[in-house]
Amino acid sequence: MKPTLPEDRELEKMGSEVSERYRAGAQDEPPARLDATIQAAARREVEQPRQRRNWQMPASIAAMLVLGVSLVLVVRDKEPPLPSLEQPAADEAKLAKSAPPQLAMKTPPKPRANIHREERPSRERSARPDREPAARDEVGAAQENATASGAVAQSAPAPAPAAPAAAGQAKPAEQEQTRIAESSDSSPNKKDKVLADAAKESRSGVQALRRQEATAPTQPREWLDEIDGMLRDGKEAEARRRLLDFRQQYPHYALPERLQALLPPEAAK
Amino acid sequence: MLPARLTLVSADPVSDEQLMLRYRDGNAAAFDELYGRHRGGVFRYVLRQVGLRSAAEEVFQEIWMNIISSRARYRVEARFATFLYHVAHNCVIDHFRRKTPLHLISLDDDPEEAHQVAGPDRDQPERAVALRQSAAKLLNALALLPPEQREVFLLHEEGGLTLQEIAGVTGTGRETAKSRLRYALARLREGIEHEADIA
Repeated sequence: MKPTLPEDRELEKMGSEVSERYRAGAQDEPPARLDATIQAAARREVEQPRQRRNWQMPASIAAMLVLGVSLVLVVRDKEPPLPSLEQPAADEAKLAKSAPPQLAMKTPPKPRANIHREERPSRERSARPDREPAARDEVGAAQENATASGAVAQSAPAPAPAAPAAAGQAKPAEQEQTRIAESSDSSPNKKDKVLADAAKESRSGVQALRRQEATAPTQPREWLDEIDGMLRDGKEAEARRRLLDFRQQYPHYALPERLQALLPPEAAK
Repeated sequence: MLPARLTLVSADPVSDEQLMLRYRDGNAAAFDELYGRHRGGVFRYVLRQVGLRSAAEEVFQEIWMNIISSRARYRVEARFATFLYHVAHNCVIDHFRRKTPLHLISLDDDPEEAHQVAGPDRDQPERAVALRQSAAKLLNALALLPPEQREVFLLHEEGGLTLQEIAGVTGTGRETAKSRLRYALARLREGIEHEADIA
């Protein structure tokens, strides 16, 4: 420290004089044992963190792994099934079991829009006032068949209406549009009534179709028995139609000769 | 052994700050060197204020333990000596807070301690006796100084701190530190001369 002010220089001069005397007697030192204690503590402080680091890193990694794996296991065990993916698949599998063979084969690959289109003709049909009793008959017959499970083959009435229903799949959707267009010419009250009736009957028509599907023959053998039953009852045209349906569904099934004779030559192959 | 102030100005290529940084980075030998440079000065700084040797040893150890434990947080923001004596100042204050009565060394009352302060000089026994007597007088005068003036003098002599650094350690302004130092030096001179007149 170099003093620049006069009073600083004076202070320095005073200090040097006193300082010389002070240093002559300033010989006190800490004891050697205290030196050793402090230096040992300093070394320990340097070494301890290194030792701590040696086991801390692997231990923390191991703990992280254990926690992560256990968390994954717990979450995987408790995870509920995804309803959006698994539930429709289960429903469709159930439907395929209970549905007749042709529906069971056709339903899964078709999108939902196509299913609605198929249902529409039957709805349309049942919505007509003149056909309403027939639809009711179909529902009644289907209910009877549902209760009499063993007598499906003998009781021909139930499957018989199913054929028009299936045939109705081919009907174009424009018919309903035409009907609504026709009804739009009439008064608003009448139009509302028609729409309400159509909605109501379409619901009942769908229900009836589902019941028919539930009671329709599920095996080719049953189906052929049913066609035999139609032939016995003299419903040859109906039997032919059902046989064509059967052939479409099972193109390679070996038909008995009596039934092959009913088919047109190209379908009998 | 040389006084601490002379040790500090020795032509050592490695500064105190660099030694502390090396110790922070895990070099225990750097601490040994740093400790060797400052052990005497810090010990005397404490001993002159605390009075009892046993208490001084206790405070001295506490100071160095604080330095050791603050190793990881050490940054070069000032001279290491300033940092060290700041810690020492706080430890001494803590000591006085813990033990209120201040026992000052009186060399007349304790001839053994007077012998410890001024060691024998075998080469020049008469000169050594004279110096010892002079030092004893100075230490007596130092013990009679007000604590603030004594501390400023010790920081200047043992720590080699500048007035600015002393002001920083004691929490005062530079002018206050300067004034205290001037009063301390004047009283010490007076004490030496008064003792000489009596003799």
